[in-house]
Amino acid sequence: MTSFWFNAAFAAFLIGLAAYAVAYLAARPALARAGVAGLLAGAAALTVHLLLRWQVAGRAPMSNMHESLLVMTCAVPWLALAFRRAPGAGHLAPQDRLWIGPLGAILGVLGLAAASLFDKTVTPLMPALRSNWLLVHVLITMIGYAAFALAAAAGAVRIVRARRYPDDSQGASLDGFVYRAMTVGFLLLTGGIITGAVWANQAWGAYWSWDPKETWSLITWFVYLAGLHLYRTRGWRGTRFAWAAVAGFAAVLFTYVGVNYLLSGLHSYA
Amino acid sequence: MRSRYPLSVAKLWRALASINLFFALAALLVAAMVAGTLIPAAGGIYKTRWFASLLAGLAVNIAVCAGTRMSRRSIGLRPGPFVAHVGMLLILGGGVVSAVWGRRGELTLRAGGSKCCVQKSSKDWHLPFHVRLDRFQIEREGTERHRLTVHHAKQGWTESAEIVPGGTVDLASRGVTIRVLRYVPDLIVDHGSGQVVSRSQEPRNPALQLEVTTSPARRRWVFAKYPGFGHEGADPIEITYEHKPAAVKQFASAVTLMDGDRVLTQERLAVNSPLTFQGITLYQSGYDPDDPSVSILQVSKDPGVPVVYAGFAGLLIGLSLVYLRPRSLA
Repeated sequence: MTSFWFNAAFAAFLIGLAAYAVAYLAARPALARAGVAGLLAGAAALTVHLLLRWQVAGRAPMSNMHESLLVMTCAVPWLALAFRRAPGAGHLAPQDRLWIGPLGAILGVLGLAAASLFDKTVTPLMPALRSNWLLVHVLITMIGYAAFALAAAAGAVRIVRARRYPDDSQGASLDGFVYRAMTVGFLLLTGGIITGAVWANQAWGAYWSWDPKETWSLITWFVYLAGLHLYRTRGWRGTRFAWAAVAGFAAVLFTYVGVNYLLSGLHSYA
Repeated sequence: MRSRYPLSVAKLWRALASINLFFALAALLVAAMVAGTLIPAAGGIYKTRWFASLLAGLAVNIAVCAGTRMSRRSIGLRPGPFVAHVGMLLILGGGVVSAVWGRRGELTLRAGGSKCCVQKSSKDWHLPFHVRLDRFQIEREGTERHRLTVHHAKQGWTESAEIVPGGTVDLASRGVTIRVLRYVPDLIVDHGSGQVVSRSQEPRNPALQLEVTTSPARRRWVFAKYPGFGHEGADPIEITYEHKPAAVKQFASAVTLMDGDRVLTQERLAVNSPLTFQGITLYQSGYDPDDPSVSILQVSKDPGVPVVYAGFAGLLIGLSLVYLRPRSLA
């Protein structure tokens, strides 16, 4: 039953992505609505899948790589839809606003494909994870990662467009979206690090142990802090800022995946 | 208008308030942290003086920047940056308080035993009370699993099957039937009676008593931790036993805190459920898998925690004020 909703989400993201592609290639903007519908259907199906997994497991589905990646992938389309409808979205040029949906669909497809590579077995929670902080800490962090993923994807679009259209006078609006996505991600990452520290103090008696996961999350935090300061105080825009978003997400990927497989520590479960 | 400070002081002040200084310090800190995680020999980098001086430099930069760039009027109009910067200073300051005045260590207790001296602490630490472990309990969930792998040395076949205590492995096609007579989770032989008994309910030495229809010695014991033990050389049937215990759900210690013979309090502490008494916190940290009567506790007294928590609150509130204002998102 749960795999049905997983597959349905995958199919919906693919259909949405196809609709966006046809809308762009055939110059039929009306088809973009089908893309939005696919994105919304995929987000809803994945949400149902996570809720069912929660019910089957008897606990929040956030205890291993597969589950946490599903949460992050579920957050991406919801964030993309929210960004499209947010009040500040009016500042985006129409063609840049059109990018948010397809980026959400692409990340949805990639996220589900990656999640299927990890062990899907529902396993009991180990004692260290039996806390309400699990839900708070992991949820905040994964939604933050999803925002960073959108920022990096938009940054990649900005970089490619700048190479194709050197006089890209409308790229400024995409810069604004990258900045907004980064700020949302940065706020949530800050919340994730703080909730993790409070939980660590409650569980292990130390709010900071320079554990590899903790250290790399702080490295990621510093990278984005510097990027946001460069935007606000040094006027970084265009491809420079886009590369900062991409570099930041590289740090996110190492924090999320690299640390688990290359470095050992207290966090060696997700 | 001339500054009342010498030019050199003004220049130093501007340098300390410089955003470029922040970028440089951030880059150095990131490089140090990357090295600390990726290079095994550099793992102690976080305790070095030069790393501490980088953090101190960051604190000075933040303080001078906040003090210089933010006037009372600007703080009133946009309090977010100031609150966020103060939050970061509190976090760094709380870290200093923890490093200087905080104490942490470990207590390893056996059921019935008591201690007041914390081990693995950087300084000698005698607690103002004794900690006695009354009982240590491991709670498991799910079912344990047993698997037998049967190999016939002469006929060259191998079969594997999951079994339950009291069940039967029917290898009719091979002409062999194995009945599981008894499961003992922690097998020892009682010296007095010579009987096989279980020392505890924890699977420290899981063993199965089997009856094998075609074996010369029909009954035998197989041990999960000692494959091959109990197998007679003439018997062509070799049986390997794999045991997978039920998952640990929780482990907890029932402790009594005492001042001499006077009982101060009796409490239960478990993972994620610490006990705080007289400013000292005990955490259920671990246990000895080979001896389930031994509990390992972390002990901590850290006056820096409230300062750091205040910093966390300031940072979150400040950042929310900075970034969630509609104008700042435009």
